[in-house]
Amino acid sequence: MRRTKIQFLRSFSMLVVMLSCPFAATQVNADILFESGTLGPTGVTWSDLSSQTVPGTNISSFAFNGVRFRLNQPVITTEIGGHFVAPTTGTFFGAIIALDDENDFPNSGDLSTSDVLGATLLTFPVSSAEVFGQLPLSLDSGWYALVFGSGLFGATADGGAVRNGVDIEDPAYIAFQPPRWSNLTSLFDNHRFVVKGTVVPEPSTIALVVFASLLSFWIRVRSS
Amino acid sequence: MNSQPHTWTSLLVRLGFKRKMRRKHSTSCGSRKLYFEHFEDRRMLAMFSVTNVIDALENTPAAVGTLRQAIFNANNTPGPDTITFSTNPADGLNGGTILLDVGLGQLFIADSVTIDASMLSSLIIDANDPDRNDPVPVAGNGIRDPDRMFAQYGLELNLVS
Repeated sequence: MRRTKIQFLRSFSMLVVMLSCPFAATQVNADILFESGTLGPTGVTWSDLSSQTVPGTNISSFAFNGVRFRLNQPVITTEIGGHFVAPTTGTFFGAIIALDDENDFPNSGDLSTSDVLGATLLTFPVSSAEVFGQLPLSLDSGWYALVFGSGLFGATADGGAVRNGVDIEDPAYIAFQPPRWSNLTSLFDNHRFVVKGTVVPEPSTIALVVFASLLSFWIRVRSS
Repeated sequence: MNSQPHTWTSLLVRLGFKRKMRRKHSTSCGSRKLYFEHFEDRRMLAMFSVTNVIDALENTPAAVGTLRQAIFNANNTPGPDTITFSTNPADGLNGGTILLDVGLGQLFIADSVTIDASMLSSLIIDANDPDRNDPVPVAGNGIRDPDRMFAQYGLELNLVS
């Protein structure tokens, strides 16, 4: 009787571990959900960018730059960021905006419309580095834009995005300059824009794990 | 008597032939140390060239070579930039007019840029707007008033002409 009880407890604890594994893996580690390009050498200065020694793109009140990205399944974002630098330290914003499709743009230039799902502040480094700002959002599968700029959401500093990486899978860069959004040409490529977060397991995945765990549990109980 | 031993080399020296000193191979670098030559900084302005008199929506195939595209590129590029104009007669810029499309909005300059039309004898940027005053010549005998241009045309120009 005592042995059966021990075996039951052992099987039950194994079941708990098996059930919790997929959730623990997704909740603890923030994965890169999207990256427009690889991270190039850091430590670049603003002088390097403004002298064209290292390619860059302005991030300012009049020059927002970003990229479209597609999610194939629901996610929970945790951080957004990329490779940036500025002449002096200060804040700029990053935002995630819902798009209708792969050709859509944000609905507003001042990002005041409801398609803007969230924004966060990041801090420009004076020696280029990968910087992030926290932005917890629950996103369904679909098209989104990741945009960086200044002059909104309390951001005040001007700086730039460093473009010394290599694009991953031909990202669709977009930009806003008054009075409109437009697709960036290949003249402005190789940005490093990143979305981090966790993938929400699909119901079918959860069901499969539960079913397998219960089956295992049942076999163990029967064999004991 | 000279007590020095007579050798062929000493004899040649006495006859006036200069003795070539063979440089000693030394393991120490001495005064000729290896070093990295310091190159001058690669500081250069981004140059964007206007090659036609067309006005078109920026970042579209039709906008390649337009003034609007050049200004967009300059706005998006860190640091001071320069916009130049093609002197090829086939491009029609020398003595020509860039007729801006009112529907596309004003030209918007957000970053330091020098619009250098000094290579042209004349060029007119026409805002094509009846509410505005005369077109603004940016080269040749024309107005050189950046403040006025900024106020009336949304342009902030550092004219080099």
